[in-house]
Amino acid sequence: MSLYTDIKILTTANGYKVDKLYSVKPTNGDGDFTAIRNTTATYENSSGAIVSAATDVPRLDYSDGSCPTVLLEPASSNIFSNSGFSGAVSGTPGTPPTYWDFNKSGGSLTVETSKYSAGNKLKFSTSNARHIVKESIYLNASTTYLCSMLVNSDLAIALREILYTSSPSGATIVWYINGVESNFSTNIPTGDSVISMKITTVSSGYSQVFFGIGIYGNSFTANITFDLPQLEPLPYRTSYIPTVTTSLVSRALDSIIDSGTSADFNSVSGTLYLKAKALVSSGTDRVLSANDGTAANSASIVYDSVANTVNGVYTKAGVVIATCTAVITDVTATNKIAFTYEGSSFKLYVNGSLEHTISSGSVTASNVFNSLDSNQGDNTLHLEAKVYEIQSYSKVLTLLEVASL
Amino acid sequence: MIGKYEFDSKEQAEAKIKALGINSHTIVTLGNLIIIDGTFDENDVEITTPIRSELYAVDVIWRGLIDHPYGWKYYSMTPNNPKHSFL
Repeated sequence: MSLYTDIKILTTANGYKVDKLYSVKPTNGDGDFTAIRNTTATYENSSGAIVSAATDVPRLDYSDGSCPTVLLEPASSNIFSNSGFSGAVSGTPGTPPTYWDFNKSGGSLTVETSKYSAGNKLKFSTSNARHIVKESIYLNASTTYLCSMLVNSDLAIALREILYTSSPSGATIVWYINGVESNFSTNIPTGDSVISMKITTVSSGYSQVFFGIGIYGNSFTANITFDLPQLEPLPYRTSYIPTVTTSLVSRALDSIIDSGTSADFNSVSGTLYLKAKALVSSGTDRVLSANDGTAANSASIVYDSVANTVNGVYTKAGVVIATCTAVITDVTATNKIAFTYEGSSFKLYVNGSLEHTISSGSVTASNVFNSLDSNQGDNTLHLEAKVYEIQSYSKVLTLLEVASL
Repeated sequence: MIGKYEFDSKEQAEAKIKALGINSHTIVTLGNLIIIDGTFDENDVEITTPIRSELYAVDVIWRGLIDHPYGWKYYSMTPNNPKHSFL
């Protein structure tokens, strides 16, 4: 018999409408998720453009390739003013965008249409020269920010020559190229890349953020395009938040909840499966749970606060009965995580391999689960991930069956 | 419904938010907003520090509400030049 027959709830990045993410199974609508996001938000569509989704509309995001994911992000804000570079005029040296100023103006500026079509991107061109813009930003104390941009360069050039900041006293800065921690003297590759600086402040104060060509003092001959600038109070880049004026702009968090009824679960015996990429490798527990509408009774898959750690957790009457744990290579890569529970047996599988078994404690005596949520059941510890697939079974899958998912 | 609020202190704002319990609203604590920007010389050295409001600002998208929750309306305000907006 096909496993498909046994699936109680199957959800993929597929059909949706306002406030609804449709499930493939069951077909009567009971398994559909309610989608909640209190603001609009952007995502990458199948054509590679950055577009906007209306409030409460799930985002099927193609930023990781031809197979979409359901994008579940935390709330965030873009602190940059005028991230769409309105007011910029092409020329030599050109005119900087409104609220941005030239720091050096030895080259040319070309204004082009951004990947987010309602905005612009800026192409800097120099011939043995420096051409730089800057914006002054006030940063709060004891906060981690990520400053990031998409760039396209025809020159392998040191990171610090194209993106730099003068941060408040005591701040630490970590640099990244395409998400990989790098020295600030490391050359970016030619072509497309995402460059970023993680700024952790101690005290509050102004930060001058510079981007362009030749920030660190050297002159270059290069053509470099900058797009989708974002400075947000998070340690990683989230979807683009366009800004126009000097007003800080915020996006609300995503949540998908209320999939299934009591008929779709078996809290006595079951399997929960998640194929996804976590957005960040550590920080706070992030949860997908089958539950009874509370956090007190639940079976959960958890991206742990400890780096690259995943858990399968069973909770009964507010007491954690079992926590199966696995340390994996990279939770931000695509992983298939399955958690099974029955009697006093709890098992956690990652990518088809059994990682941890616990044979103590016991599941609830009766079926109490009635909902599948992207949180721990009480609207906290929201899942932050790119989700390919969610499955729920009212039976324990075998190792062979899990490996076949 | 979107509400903008200015509380007397950070502690008062935090107490109001805590009293809401777990919820589906979107709450952005803006803190003591800068009302006069700092100034810089040609080398980006700060000449004057910014001046901040004594009030503690909070913006909220109230999910499922058509009016301010009890105890919030008194602190609501409509700024001429908002320092924050939602997507």
